[in-house]
Amino acid sequence: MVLVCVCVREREREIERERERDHVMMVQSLTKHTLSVCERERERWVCVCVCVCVEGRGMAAAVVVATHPSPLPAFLFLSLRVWLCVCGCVCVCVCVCEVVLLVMNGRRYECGQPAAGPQPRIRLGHGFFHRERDSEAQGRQCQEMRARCERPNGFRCCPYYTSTTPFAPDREYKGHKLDSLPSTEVELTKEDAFKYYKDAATIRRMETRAGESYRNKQIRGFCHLYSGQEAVCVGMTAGFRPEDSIITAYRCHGWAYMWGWSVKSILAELYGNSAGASKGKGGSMHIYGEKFFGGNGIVGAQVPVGAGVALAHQYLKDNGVNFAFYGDGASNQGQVFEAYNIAKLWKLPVVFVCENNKYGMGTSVQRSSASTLYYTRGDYIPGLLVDGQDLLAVREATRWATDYARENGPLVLEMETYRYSGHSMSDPDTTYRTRDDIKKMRTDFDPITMMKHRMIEAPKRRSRPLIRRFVIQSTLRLTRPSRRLPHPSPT
Amino acid sequence: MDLALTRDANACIFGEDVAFGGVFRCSVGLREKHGAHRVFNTPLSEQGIAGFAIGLASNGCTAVAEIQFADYIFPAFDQIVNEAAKYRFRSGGQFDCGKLTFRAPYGCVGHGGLYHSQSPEAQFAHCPGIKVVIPRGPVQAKGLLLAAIEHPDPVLFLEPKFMYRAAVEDVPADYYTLPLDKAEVVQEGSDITLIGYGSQLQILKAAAKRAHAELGVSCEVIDLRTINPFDEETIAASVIKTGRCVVAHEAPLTAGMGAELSSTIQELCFLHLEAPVKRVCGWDTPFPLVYEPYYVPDTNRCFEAIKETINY
Repeated sequence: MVLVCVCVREREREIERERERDHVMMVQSLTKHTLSVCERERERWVCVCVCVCVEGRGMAAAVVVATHPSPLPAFLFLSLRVWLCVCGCVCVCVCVCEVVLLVMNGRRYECGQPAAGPQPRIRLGHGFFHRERDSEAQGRQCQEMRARCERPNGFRCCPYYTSTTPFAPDREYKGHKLDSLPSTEVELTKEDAFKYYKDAATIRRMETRAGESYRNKQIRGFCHLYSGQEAVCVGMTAGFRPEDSIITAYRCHGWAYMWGWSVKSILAELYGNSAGASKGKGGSMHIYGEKFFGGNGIVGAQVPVGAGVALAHQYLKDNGVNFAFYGDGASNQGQVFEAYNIAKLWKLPVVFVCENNKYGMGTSVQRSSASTLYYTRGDYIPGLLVDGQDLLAVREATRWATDYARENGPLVLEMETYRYSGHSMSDPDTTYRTRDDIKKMRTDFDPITMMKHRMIEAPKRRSRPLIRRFVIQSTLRLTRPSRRLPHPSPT
Repeated sequence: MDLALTRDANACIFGEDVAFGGVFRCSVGLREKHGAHRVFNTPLSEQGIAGFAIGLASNGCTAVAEIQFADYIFPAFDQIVNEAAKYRFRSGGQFDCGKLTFRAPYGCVGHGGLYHSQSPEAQFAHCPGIKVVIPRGPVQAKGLLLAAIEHPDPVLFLEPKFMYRAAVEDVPADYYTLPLDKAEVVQEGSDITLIGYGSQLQILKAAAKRAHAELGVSCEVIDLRTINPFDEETIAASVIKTGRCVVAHEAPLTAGMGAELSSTIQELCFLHLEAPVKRVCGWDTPFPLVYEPYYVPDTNRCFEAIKETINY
């Protein structure tokens, strides 16, 4: 008897794997991450069995289409095929691939079910090297060094500008007048991980492209790039709820993207075309959206406006929290303190977020601020310091902060982050920091690389090449047509 | 500024990012030459800068405070208008902050957008007690700035940022000052008076040249130099001579300097005017991004105004 069995299999697997890997950080490997990834694998096959009776009385063929999950256990299924041989002979139909399949898979999972057990948990990095956040001592020492320095740009003599990275973000939360802190163990699903990575990488590509366009004089005016700070906007947007609103300063391209504007409309706005987010009338600094109040040019002016938006949330009782962003430079503006006072007095649902990227245009934080502990600047407003390069820490802190602000009123968050490009495209970026510093931050504390390390569990063929290809192609495709779009209309 | 610092041992220059030279390289080299205690950076707070400058000036030092862009001067507006301008008046002469100069780049630059192109001179002109001075080129800038620093009244010195890279002139290297309250007749003429200040002078001169070539009109071009208080005598003498006047500035039309000038001219020269005073100004909108060439009063618009006034 001849048995022919043809299996055509469609495979979409669902396998749960648990692995533990050491997360090797560039400087020290201290943290371990447990990451479980649920992969789906669906098995579907068409089996054609041809039984030929030895006695030659006839052929019987049975076409069995089976999909997984099958209501019957495998062995029964096998025997069913035996039974179906109509010539009356006993045939044993053994499907080669079926056997192989059975042998290969130790366990089978029901597709359509979520992965068994709790979602994967990631422990956020901590115990990293701490830097003394004593700005007074640093500032004094810096001034002394510079006074003695003979070089024309005194800053190079200051130890805090040498090639050892001066700004290693603190890898744990620090609270000011807070009883509890956000948790350091977070969940990460695969879909979320890919989404965050893709968003951050898209923003990075978009900003790079914007920088190139500016140099080619396709973009005029001002262009403040967000490269290096992506973790803040991607992480925080992941932590917002639909009723929350934000207001930020001029470094708003990343926020515009996270708020739903496409790369095309953002770049069109930079070019000044009518397809842009503000119909080409605002430019780089003035992009707005639903519950996204911009995009503001004057430093610090958006903070009291944010407090006002929070007052509206409170008045309308819509449970929304306003996040008012400002930078380390703007934190010395008087109106910021006025906003703090009013917010605390009236218990407004506002979170003041200082995106501390260590430089206020050309002035480092030590030279501009008497206190560089920006999360304590609120004084009577509790504050939280977050590692702004760690996307998951940012997300966790945001979720915690929205709950806090809803209950207890204002909060100050400080996101310790870093920008790779200059303040704006007109800033040569060489007079106040060295290229080595920037390179060091790029290698050690890049938010996208950090996210990638965390996603190591994704199958190799699907993670890196697919994402990069997708992001690069889509960004290129979207950046080209903008130049041909018309100018904004006079209305 | 180097000369001012050399001459006056009590002079200080400060503002955002002035230490490394400033965003327009105005203070390059000063810190190294005169010391970090005289040329220093301030944090990002214009109100603080203004208040600090006023205090410094009222206690015996000469303060030269830089506001990085004139668009950012509005947080400092209260300090300038309510404190600096009224200091001497309210203390009956016991105190004054005369040795005070605010410097700010102002005006359109081609790509400034809303917040790097504004012209706030009219808003400060409305405040008695503070002088507003605007140079039209490097030679004027040096003389007027030194005069402003020396002058015993608080002065707001607005520098047209368009001229930082565009203007090239041979400037005398020594110390010289130009009189602050006088306007200057840049070009003599007999048919029409053109009044402007700052970077507008270049445009007015070009329009005058075109008017002379195409219409045969001889234009008298006047540079106001000091916006407040402006030199009424020179302007009145000129308009009485010519009988027609065009005022041009980048700031918006309503309540700009054009309005003030035309009302003063009609008061002083009513019977000598052959045509209404024409104002060629920016439009009454926020300063646009892409539409800047249509917003500013360029040569074409000035020329049209001249033609209209001549043919009235």
